[in-house]
Amino acid sequence: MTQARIARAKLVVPVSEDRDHIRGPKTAPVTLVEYGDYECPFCGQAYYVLKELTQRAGNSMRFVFRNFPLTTLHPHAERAAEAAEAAGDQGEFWEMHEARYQIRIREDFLTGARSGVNGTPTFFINGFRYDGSWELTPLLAAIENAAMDKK
Amino acid sequence: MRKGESDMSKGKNQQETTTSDSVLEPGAPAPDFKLRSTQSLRPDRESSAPDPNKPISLPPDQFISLSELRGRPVILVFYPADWSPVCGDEMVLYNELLPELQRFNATILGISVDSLWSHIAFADDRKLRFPLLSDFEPKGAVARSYGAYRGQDGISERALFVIDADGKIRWSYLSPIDVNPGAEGVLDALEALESKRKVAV
Repeated sequence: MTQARIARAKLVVPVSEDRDHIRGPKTAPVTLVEYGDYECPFCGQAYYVLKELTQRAGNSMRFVFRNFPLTTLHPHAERAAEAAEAAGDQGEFWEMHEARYQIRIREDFLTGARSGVNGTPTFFINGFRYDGSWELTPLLAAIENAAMDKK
Repeated sequence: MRKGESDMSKGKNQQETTTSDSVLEPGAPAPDFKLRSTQSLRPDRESSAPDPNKPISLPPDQFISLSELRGRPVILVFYPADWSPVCGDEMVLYNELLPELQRFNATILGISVDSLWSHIAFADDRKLRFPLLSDFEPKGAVARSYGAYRGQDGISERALFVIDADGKIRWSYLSPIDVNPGAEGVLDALEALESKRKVAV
């Protein structure tokens, strides 16, 4: 119902190993990026879809999560995002890096807004915004199509 | 370049997605208005977030007119109605981007045909820190003057306008009514305004 856009929004900051937490094989033909908010109930639902999706897609997909916390509505979302960032950098000391996480999360938010993220969750498949439903079947089909295109 | 099309609309893929015969185009002077508002304009000071423990109180009669904002960019956000679903909510996104908009010295105003009382409750619930204007009487008159009124539904379209410091429309976008247009078009337009201003200086 909300498919009226013909032009597809693009990621303004490409996925990079230096700044993103990437899960999945380097050689995967498809990169799925989610802009999410840890306190958004829809993102919570999407988590289970993504878990299943990751299994089904196997080696053809790698997954990147970027933070898009709506902090005025979800006062704990930014804190949760910082905690997750810290957990990603195992062995590093939390306080030392808190400021850096805040900068990174704010950067995720702004570049997300510039890329056409207008709510959460928003997905990008190989750099292009995916405007379809994020239920398992259509999302998996979109991933498979993107993998075919790469061949 | 076509008549009525400014260089600010180029390269913005949004612009091609919907077309309207009616919505005011870049280059047109922005029609002035004076509407009741949920909060007053304090351009140099960010208004504080509402106190959650304080009951909603009657604000004094406050009006905002476009002409009093000359000298700074203004973003007009026409939207169909208060109380749309939360996580994909357009107003919440703009609220979150207020620091970024302030970087451009821009003022953002939300406009719908809802009554001031609905606006106040809505702004309070979503913790909105920018003014919502009530285009209530005569209903939708301002939306009509921007070509952003849906007569068949009695509500305004979901439309965005970026107006420059001289009161001229520099970018406009009519979104499908059920699609949150996001902020990328607005931010691109503000950036283009800023770079133009810098060149002029």
